[in-house]
Amino acid sequence: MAGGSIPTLRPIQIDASHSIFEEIRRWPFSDSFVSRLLRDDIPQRLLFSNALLWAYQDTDENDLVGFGCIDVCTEYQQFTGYEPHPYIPLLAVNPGREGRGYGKAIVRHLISVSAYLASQKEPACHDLLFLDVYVTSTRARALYEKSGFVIVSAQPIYDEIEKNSYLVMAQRVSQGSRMSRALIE
Amino acid sequence: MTICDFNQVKDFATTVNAQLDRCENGEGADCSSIDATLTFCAQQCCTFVDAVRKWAQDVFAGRIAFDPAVEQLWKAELVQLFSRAQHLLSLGWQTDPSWYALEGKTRLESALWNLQKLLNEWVSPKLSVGPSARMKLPADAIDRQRIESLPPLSADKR
Repeated sequence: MAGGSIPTLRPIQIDASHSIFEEIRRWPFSDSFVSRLLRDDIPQRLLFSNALLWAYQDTDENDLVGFGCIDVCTEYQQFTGYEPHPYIPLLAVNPGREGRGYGKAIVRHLISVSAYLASQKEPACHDLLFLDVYVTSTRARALYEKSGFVIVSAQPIYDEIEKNSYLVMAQRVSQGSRMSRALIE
Repeated sequence: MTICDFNQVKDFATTVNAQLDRCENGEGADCSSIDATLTFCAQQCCTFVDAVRKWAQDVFAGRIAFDPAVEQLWKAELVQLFSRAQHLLSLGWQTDPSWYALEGKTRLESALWNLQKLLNEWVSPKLSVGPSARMKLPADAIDRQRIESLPPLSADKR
């Protein structure tokens, strides 16, 4: 499947109390950052922000192959004219199921969801979809670039807490050209 | 407005409860009928949930420090408000035969669902692991020209 067609996935919307979420949290991610985000950040975003979380099932094999999250938040609002915007806090493929195009399929689904959210008049959601990626996550960065994301940070941003630098990436999810108020002013 | 310390939460809850007291006593134009009373209560529940979410988001972003006493107070006030709103809903059922069709009933049920979800799935807020929420980026950290030149989404990606 790698390098060829994108596999078909069935998204299952879940929340932090769902048994699937418990299962995902037990996956042995090689990067502990993913486990910490899953344990601490995602439940908070689901409960206190506007995050939506999906687990993905391979329609051929009927097992869980990954998950992805979209939050409509204000973290990069200074670049969206102070409008809430879609943001991907985390997505991951089930360890052991990597290299089969699942990551690309998950990103594609999250882009579609963001496009839908940005097309709605209420609640307001800007058409710029953001994510951030640590410079050491070269595979993730390559996946995002292949999926249409562009680095928009002027240079890597150093994160004192994680002792690592990260890049901000974005892509427009509307088909029309929409200029942010911040850029016009 | 950020509500961050114990006294501010206490004041906020006292104000909401006082407004509900007045409404239940039929004071003010907002509470002239059972439908209006249910609607007003739903609005107060939403205001309360929004305030809790804002406080948690402020902790997540590092704008304020987490205080367990504040958390306990929020939760206690949420429980009290839930109980009060549930009681009001049951009163509506007893006092108005057309209660089932009232718009205020639907609104209050929705507000109660949100309150219950918050209580049932509660997690203690803490500082974000990911950088985006807690980092304060200067304006020049993002290249606006690059954002400006981002193309629209191609049809095959939708």
